[in-house]
Amino acid sequence: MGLEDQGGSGQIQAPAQGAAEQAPAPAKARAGETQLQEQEQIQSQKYAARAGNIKLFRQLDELEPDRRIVQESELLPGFWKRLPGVITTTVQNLVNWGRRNSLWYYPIGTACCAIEGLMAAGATRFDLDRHGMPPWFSPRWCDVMIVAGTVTEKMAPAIKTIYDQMAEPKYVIAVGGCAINGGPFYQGYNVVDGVDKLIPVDVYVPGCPPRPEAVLHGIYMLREKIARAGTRPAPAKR
Amino acid sequence: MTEEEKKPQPAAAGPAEAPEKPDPFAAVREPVLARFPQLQPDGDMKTAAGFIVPAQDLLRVARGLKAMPGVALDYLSHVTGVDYKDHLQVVYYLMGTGTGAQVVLKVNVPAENPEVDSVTSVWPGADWHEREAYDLLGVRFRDHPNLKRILLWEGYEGYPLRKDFVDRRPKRERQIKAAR
Repeated sequence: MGLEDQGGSGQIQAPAQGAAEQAPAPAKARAGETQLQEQEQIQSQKYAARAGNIKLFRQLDELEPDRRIVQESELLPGFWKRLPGVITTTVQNLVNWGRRNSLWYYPIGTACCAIEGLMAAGATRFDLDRHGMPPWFSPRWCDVMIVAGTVTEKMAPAIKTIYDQMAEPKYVIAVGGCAINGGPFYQGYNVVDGVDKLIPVDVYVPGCPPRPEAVLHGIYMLREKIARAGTRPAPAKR
Repeated sequence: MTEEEKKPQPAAAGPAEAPEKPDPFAAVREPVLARFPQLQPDGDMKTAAGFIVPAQDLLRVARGLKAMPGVALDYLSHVTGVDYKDHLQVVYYLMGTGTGAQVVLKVNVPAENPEVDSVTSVWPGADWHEREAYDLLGVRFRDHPNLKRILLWEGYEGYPLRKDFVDRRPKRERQIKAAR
């Protein structure tokens, strides 16, 4: 429509436009091919790096076999391990897998360790949420209670009540010297010398205060403990 | 007798040296002592002008210092206590927000029956501070509106910041999770 209305001037311009379109087209195609090649190269490099990481992790696991998180398949006889594309497990292992990967935690922050260790581990840099651990303030929904800080005599009945309100299976992590045995205040007139005098503790994270990495390490130790719950011990030789 | 005579000599030498240093709190200390001659200046204080107040005069002195022009101690920043074994001491940290005067009042009370007038009628902010002193040192404040424990719970035995305090809590056993 536009070309017909403009008349002769439009006829002259039309081939020029066509020529302009034809000329750069191969260049565009070439650019697209090179981009695809580059992307493939980058992707292959990523795959190679990932494979290298896996190789590195395997080497690390061989160096420190005790530190390694036990996989369910390794607890099974060798025949089942080698079946391709088939996952075999026991009900107990399946339950443990579910339990240890969504440990909602009830934070009991009674003193400075709550800020330095627990809240720092839960905030964006260390981010407990990416480990499947949201903080939740209802004990009925929580799996693990993290006690960070000095436990006073006035706080003791509240902690005991909250622990009793949690549903089984429930776990407790004591973060910091005060929660472990009273720390520097163990002779205090109003201090309970360790939260394990009130409730059973699964993992102790020492420090005054501990680093957030230490809290994460304690959480992963608890995961190993849950992975082994109700199963036979991991084989000594791998 | 000769030994007893020798002992007061260094004590007598102390005041002789003291006038060489100018009193940094003379602007506050002199009018207060002129108004209340029963106060004893306490030279140990380095942050504020210190006075030792007789227990029966505390409330009158407090009202007078709050109303005195040039001093006008209208802000009570802290009330605390000290256990000196033979007696207890209640310490009041006071400031004049308009005048900049800083004064510390100290009241000595006997350890057997520590009782002193409450200053909540003069400075209402003394309420929780006096409750804390009652909670941890056992000083009873007369005419306090709500004198009960503030940090510890009702029924706690003893006053934990006293020097002769003995912790009588029963020992707790470590809890261990039953094997499942």
